[in-house]
Amino acid sequence: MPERDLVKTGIAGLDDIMAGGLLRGSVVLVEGTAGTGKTTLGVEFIYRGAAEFNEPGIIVLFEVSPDKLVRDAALFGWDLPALERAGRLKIVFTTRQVFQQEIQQADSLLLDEAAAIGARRIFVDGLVPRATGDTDTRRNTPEAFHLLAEGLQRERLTAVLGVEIAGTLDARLGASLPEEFIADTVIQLRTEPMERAVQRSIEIVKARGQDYRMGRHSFSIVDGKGIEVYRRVQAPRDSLREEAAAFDPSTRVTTGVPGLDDLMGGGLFLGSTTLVVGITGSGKSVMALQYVAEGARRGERSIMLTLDEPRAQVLRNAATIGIDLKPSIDTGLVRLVYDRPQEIEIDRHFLELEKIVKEFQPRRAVIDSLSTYGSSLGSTGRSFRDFFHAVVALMKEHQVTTLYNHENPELLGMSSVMGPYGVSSLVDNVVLLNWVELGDTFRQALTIAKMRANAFDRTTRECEIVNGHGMRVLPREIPPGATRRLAFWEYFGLVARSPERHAPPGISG
Amino acid sequence: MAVQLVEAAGLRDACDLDLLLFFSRHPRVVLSSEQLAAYVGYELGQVARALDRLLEIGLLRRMLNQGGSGRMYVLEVGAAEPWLEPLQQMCATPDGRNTLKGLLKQRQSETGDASNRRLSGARSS
Repeated sequence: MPERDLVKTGIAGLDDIMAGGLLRGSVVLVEGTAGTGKTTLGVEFIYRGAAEFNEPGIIVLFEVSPDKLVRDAALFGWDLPALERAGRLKIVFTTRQVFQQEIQQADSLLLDEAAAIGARRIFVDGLVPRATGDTDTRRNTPEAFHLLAEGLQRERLTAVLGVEIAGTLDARLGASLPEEFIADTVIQLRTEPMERAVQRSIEIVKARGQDYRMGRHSFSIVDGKGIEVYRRVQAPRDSLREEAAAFDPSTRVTTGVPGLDDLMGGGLFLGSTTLVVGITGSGKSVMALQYVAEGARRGERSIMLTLDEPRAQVLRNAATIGIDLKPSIDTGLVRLVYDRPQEIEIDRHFLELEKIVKEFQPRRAVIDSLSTYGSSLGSTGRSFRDFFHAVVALMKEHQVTTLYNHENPELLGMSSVMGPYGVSSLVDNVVLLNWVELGDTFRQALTIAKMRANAFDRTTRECEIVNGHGMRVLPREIPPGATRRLAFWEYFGLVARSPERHAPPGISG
Repeated sequence: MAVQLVEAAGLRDACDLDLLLFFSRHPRVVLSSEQLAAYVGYELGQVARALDRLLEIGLLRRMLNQGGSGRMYVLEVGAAEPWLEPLQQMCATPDGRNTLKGLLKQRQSETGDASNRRLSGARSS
């Protein structure tokens, strides 16, 4: 198969969803309503080409004056005048009518200008499609657009054409513009309401002759940088990641919680996925901190991703159980990552997590907590499940042994592992943390409910959290004289919310 | 300051000024004369004279093609470098722009008076 001549847009994340870039000589429509980012995308395409890929370019404007474009581009750090002075960029202001004539003429002034700097790219901002505005039927016909496309192709220019859509793209009810049939690639930009917030999305709806990632991916326009496209987290990853999705049953990772590893036969398997479920205050975060501290003690890198508590709060929590994470953070063994849970952009969030995992190469990870993702993505539909699946696959590919905390709302006992978020089948291990009411006391219980490929202790065990020391799993038998209370084994129905004491020895029904 | 700017730029009237300011915002355009006149808001004849003036003093370069109605105009920024930015700054406010326009009008009428005087002197002699 001949190697394809791809033009890299240079726009962060866009080439990834375009499977490498645009085919050279393509005519690309970028459609969207006002304010969706068409001009920014087009200008960045030209800027990156001229500044980074040795591909001079032309920007053609009909409405925005060049001085405003130059001013706005400067906010992203794009020095367009410098490129003009270097003969790598020309910005031309004209009208649609003149442009249409120009592009069709063999001795076009505009194309002469393009040729003079060896232009390989062109961005035309503000074309109006036939269906939405320009009522001059002599020039605004599919044939006229076809001639335009031919003119651009003749010059071997890779063209991005910004097309203004009146109303919303979705209001077109699937009706295609005639221009979309002629263009090689069609990209749609949207601003989509999310509750009371708004999220930007980008969708490749057509890319003739090349593969691309379907669906609506999200993107941001970032000051000082430009456009950043975040691949839809649900989009399938490459097969390597899926093939690597297996833990290593020959290597154990210790939890750092005294007594817990014994229940597990020595610890978690390397690269395994563990769900720690319990109501607030049942010890999930404490267990997570001990797991990270244990990694640091062994010289293993860990990341702790928190959505519920900012970094300073996590450090304070750790200090209360005798863990000082700061030295491990300073030496680079531990990385605390906090992302605000409000209006979380899940595609961007996942991309950042992916970057950290690839660069930092941790052996351990904690996600605290899944419930917060659930609040953002909703429990219905596939969003949460697909997101979780993507995180699990990422961690397995990099053999990161990961704890996922999940807050179960039930105060006593547990009637289901994850309620409406039915993802427990994706995990290798499940640890339940419960409050058990015995007499006038709430006591903490730990049960290993699932552990793949491993024989484990299925008894519900009491555990305790002590200030300055953290969590530990207590022995099944309470040493004589240690306490006046009864051991858990003397009850049944602990997790079923109705603990009853076994009949004392010697008494029968 | 205003006098120096007007003299440095070689401007004669308000149309010269507005056309120059248009080209400073749009340094490379492809437009027909009619479109250009519509953008700056003057009569076609006035715009044609102002274009000739800017071309004559080397502030503007024009390229024509055979078939199309559009002409390409390129502002020769290099020639305007010392005074273009101060001129733009002054015209960034309505007051500044009106001051320059007033000055151009005054100079125009003085030039007109002088030539009238010359004409009437020639007639009487």
